[in-house]
Amino acid sequence: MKQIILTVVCFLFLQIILKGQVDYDKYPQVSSSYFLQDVYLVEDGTPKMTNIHLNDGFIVQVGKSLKRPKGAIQLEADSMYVYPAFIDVLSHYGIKKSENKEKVEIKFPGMPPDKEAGITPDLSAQDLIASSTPDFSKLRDNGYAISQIANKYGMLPGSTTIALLVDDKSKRVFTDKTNQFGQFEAASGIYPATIIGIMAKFRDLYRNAEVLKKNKDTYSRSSANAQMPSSSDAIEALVPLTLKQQTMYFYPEKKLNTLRAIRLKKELGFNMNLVGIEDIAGLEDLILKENIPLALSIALPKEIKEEKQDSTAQEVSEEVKALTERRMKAYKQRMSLASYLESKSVPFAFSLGSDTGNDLKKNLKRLIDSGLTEQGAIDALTINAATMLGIADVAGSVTKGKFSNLMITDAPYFDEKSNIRMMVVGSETYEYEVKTKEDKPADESLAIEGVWDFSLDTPGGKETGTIKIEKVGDSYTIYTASSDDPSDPEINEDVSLSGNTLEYGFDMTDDGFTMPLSFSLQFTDSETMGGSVSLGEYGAFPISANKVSSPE
Amino acid sequence: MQQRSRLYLIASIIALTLQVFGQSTGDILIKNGTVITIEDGIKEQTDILIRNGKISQIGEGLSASNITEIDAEGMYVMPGIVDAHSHIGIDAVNEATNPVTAEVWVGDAINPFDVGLYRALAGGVTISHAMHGSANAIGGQCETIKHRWGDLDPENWRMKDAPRTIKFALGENPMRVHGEGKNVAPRTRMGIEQEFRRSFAAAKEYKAKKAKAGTTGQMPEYSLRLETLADILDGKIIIHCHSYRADEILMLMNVLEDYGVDKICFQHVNEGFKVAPELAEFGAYASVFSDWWAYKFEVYYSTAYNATILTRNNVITSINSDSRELIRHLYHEAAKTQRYGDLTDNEALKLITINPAIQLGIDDRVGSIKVGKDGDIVIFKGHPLSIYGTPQYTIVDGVVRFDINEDPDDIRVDVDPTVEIPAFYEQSVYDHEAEGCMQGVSTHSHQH
Repeated sequence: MKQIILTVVCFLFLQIILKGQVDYDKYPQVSSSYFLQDVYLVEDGTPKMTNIHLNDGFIVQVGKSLKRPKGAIQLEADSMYVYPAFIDVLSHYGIKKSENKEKVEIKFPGMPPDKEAGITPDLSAQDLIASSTPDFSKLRDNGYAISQIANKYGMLPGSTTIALLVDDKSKRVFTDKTNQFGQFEAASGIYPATIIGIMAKFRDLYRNAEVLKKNKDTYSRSSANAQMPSSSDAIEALVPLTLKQQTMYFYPEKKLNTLRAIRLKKELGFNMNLVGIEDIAGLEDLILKENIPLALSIALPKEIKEEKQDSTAQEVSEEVKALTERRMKAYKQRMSLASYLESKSVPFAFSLGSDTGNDLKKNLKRLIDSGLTEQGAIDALTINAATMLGIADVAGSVTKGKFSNLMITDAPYFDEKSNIRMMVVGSETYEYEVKTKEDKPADESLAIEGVWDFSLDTPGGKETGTIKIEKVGDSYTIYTASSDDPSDPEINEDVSLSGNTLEYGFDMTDDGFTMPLSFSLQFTDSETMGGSVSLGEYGAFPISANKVSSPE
Repeated sequence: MQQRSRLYLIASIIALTLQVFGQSTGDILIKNGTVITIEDGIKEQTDILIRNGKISQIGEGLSASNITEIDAEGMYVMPGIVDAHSHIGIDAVNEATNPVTAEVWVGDAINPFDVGLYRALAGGVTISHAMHGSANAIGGQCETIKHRWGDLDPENWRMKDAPRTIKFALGENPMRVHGEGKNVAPRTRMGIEQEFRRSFAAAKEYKAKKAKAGTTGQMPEYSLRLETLADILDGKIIIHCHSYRADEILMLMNVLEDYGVDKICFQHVNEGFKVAPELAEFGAYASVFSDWWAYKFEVYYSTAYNATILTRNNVITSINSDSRELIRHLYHEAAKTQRYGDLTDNEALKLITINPAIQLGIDDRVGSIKVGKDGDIVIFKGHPLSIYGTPQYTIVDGVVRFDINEDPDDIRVDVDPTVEIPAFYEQSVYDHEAEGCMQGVSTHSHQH
């Protein structure tokens, strides 16, 4: 493993240096030497004022008495806060499902081709994203500079690549075939279609990779007329895993599957890191005793608020009360997983999976409310992630000699009003304008209270429902309900009208899948409105509504 | 060799977990019960002392300090009920994509959160044989589990040292799933026979290839499927075969004879009464329903006297549930043999205790009340074969896992905070279809 890390790191260095030099000729850039003066470097939780010199994608020096070297461009970051940029341990960013041009006819569902069964450890994520050339700004905008990317589909989707999240394709430093990714994704209607099939198939493939290696060793010692051992592409690609040259990043998805992944690791003996861990309530200590590096999912369950005792509310039965209490207890246990790990001094990281981290800060703050320390959250996203990926000697902290991957904010990151003002990723810098919300006074001529029937156009068809608006003091309480389920509205309190615009949002969860909805409604008059609703990563879609009743 | 090291590894894992979660076994003193020993008659006003999960003493006036005591005065104390055919407590039942899937193992899918397991305990069942389904001619390896409700580690549910078992299936289910459903063999009953013969022949060839390669030559392609089939040939795995028709039962015994395999328990075996002497001669076991049939064509020719006829012909017979409902009152199912076949009390109770234990190869550990055996006990108010009999305590390895006096409304051991639980249980169509032997197979009829 050490050897692999070294190779990877050398590869990174080489690429940076080579590509950096090429870029000088290619672009009219004067220098990639940068200087940060009087910034607050946040390490160990306490911001300390210092200066930082960056050159060619690396941190040259950090120090209070450091002077700006000649030729270094001074970045406008005076009195801002500098953090090591975030590192994602595993995402599927930029991976698209390959479209099957010809439908493969499978004659024997019990013996499908590996590819159809989701067994493609020979597929490299680098090749996949090279063909789709993703725009990394979405991850970068949320503070990330590095992500390990893996194909998303199948039980053994392929080898991973560690990517530096820059726009300039020539500077995207990839390490190829870095690790393997695995998950309990069953093939549909073909072998293996169940958890028991996947477990058996995994063992079979792994043992065959061992046999292949052994046969190749035997062959190398044997006489000239011996036959060269051969095997499938999939089995060939798993040999580095059996030799511990790669680590299996396993996404168990479900609680009990976490133990099943551990069983495979223990039985077969490969190196494994678990990613996307959400809920392991009750199994924490069973899992922790295995000392397997853990990356928690950045996604959290929808917030459950403790029921307020409302005297006017309907009498709730003892049974319902007891069930609600247990659910609340389970919710709290789920939310305190990160702080529990911290209390046990178990280092952990975070992984994005299919997320892009838009709710990163919000969710970290929820974890902090549940007991995680701020530094614990930052460590998980920086040094712990770097350690897990085996790149801690080049990333994960603001240290001389490491990559110049910095996140620069205008206030401490966890402050409600802080903004990312600049991302430095290698030799690239990205500046951000602060989105200042115009606090326009409410348009007094509008009387928006009442019930509105809305219609939302999505690619999946037209959604209809009602929006009930109640005025409470100077602001509004909004009840949004789909016509599928009019009795269960989503409630937003304390929403203010800005000019003629009302903005609010909520998360919708269905079958474990969460979709953030944000509404931006513009009132033409007191009877009609239009606007848009953005549905997570799917984009924004037009909405229109008419008032159907006003309060008496 | 690899197989052995795997088993060794599993054994060491268990040893490790036991160290950490030491509460798997306990100490209990049961006082003054009417003890139905199964193998040594009935003992009135008798005490049973369980130490470290094992029965250490049986007798009158036993005492021990610092021990949980249960007063069984006026109650019946019998060995924990063993169900030789069940599908509860596992997340997958059928890998129905191939007619032969010997390599899969339901031990990978144990789910200690399944509330059906607690309900089984409430019916006095301490051990169940969690089986693969009947979609395939050779399904998968099964797992004998101890009902340690409250222990969240699936590994601790496995009955340590219980022999390996595997599910085979004859007749309509594999024919329908593969022949009709996927247009591959087997489409007929004779096709199913060929699946067995082909599989055993391949396993023999595989063993020979491996032996030839030794440790220095080129190894053949590894196959967990053939490894498992070879273990059957080597007598390391007991076959449990889903079966109904007498002709097919004879067919499988012929196949096994050709390959020198002698460990088999026929499951369901509704026409077992027609071939009872042949079963006895082969040494095959039979695990039957008391009076359940006519759920598909091949199950019409059946009789409620099946268990009795098999018993009277010296076939070791058990009565099983194959259902998360029947498992809650297997003692009623055993009692039906007295209504129909006039079995004695002890013969009837053997059908749900020592006999299924023999069929699973665990009769040296459980199935009767005997010094040295596991402390798996169920205490009944009313005789277990009476319609008024009700389990009061179910004890597994000396730990009380069910106590009728402490039976909370919400017994779940796992709560998913993302799901709002309604205060009533709504049985969905899916729940109904998900029951039984054909779980995980898209079909709308015919269970078992």
